Amino acid sequence: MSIRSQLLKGILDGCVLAVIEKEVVYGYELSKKLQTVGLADVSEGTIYPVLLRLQKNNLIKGEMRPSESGPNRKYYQLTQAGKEALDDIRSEWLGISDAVGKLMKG
Amino acid sequence: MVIVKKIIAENNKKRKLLTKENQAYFDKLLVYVRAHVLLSERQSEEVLMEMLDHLLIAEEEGKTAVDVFGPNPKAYADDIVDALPKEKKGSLMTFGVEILCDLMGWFIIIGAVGRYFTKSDQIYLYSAIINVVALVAIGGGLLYLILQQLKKGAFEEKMSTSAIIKAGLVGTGTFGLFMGILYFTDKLGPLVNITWFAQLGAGSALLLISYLMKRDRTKRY
Repeated sequence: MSIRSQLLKGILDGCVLAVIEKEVVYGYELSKKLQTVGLADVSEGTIYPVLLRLQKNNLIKGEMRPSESGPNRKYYQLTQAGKEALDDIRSEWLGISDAVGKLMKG
Repeated sequence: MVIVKKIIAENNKKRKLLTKENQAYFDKLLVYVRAHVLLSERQSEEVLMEMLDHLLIAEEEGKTAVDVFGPNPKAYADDIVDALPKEKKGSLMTFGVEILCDLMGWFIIIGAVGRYFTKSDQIYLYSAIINVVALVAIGGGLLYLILQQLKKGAFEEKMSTSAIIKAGLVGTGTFGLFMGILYFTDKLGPLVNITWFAQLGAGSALLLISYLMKRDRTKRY
């Protein structure tokens, strides 16, 4: 596993929650959004175990419904608990990235 | 229409659209996930559908299943299985009873038809009970072994010779065991008067219960 994907592993749940907070998305859309912000090396399939785990922990809920282009898709949105979890992750992350940023700049 | 059934039907149709290599890869994931029967069926089928849809779009972009799900299908499938929620205990129980009624129903009906030809109106009570218990135990054991083999063999390219021999031995062994039990316990306990027709009725009643339970189960999805 590359250093980059090891680092990402811990924060991927947070990234997925952050995308879903902005808009209701389905799986493929979510992976595209992660790629466009620069997380291109997250292998696309990685999001499905993450989505399942977040659903199991009641942080998001998925609903199958017809899409604009026709076929049924599962759309995800945050639950109340998901919003709270994301707020926690966000403040923790900002704290960490600030501190680590100072160190890494040398 | 029932949602899970609809998803499975859609899955069967869409899977044919994949390239040969991608379908081979996806089929392994599918068999492995479905062999975990204690996991929520609805959630399992939904995530398989999402993955299939994703793979179909990725194909149009020139990507392969390896690009999307990684080079190690077993590791990926384990990630999925670990993240899936368990089926609710109640649903598992009623599903078990449903299968049990189905299995016993057919067994009792076949026995009834046999007795129609032998013209006997009596059965040995203990023998009958032992037969049904043996049927359920051996049937359950066999089902368990088959699921284990599906999980283990899902990612092997070809079934190894030793696995084929083992499967053959287990198959003939369990059949022989069942026949042996029927043979050696055929005259135990008091004789009870039950006409073949009453037995046919009892078997049919079990099948009816199983059918109604199945209808109810699939309606609730």
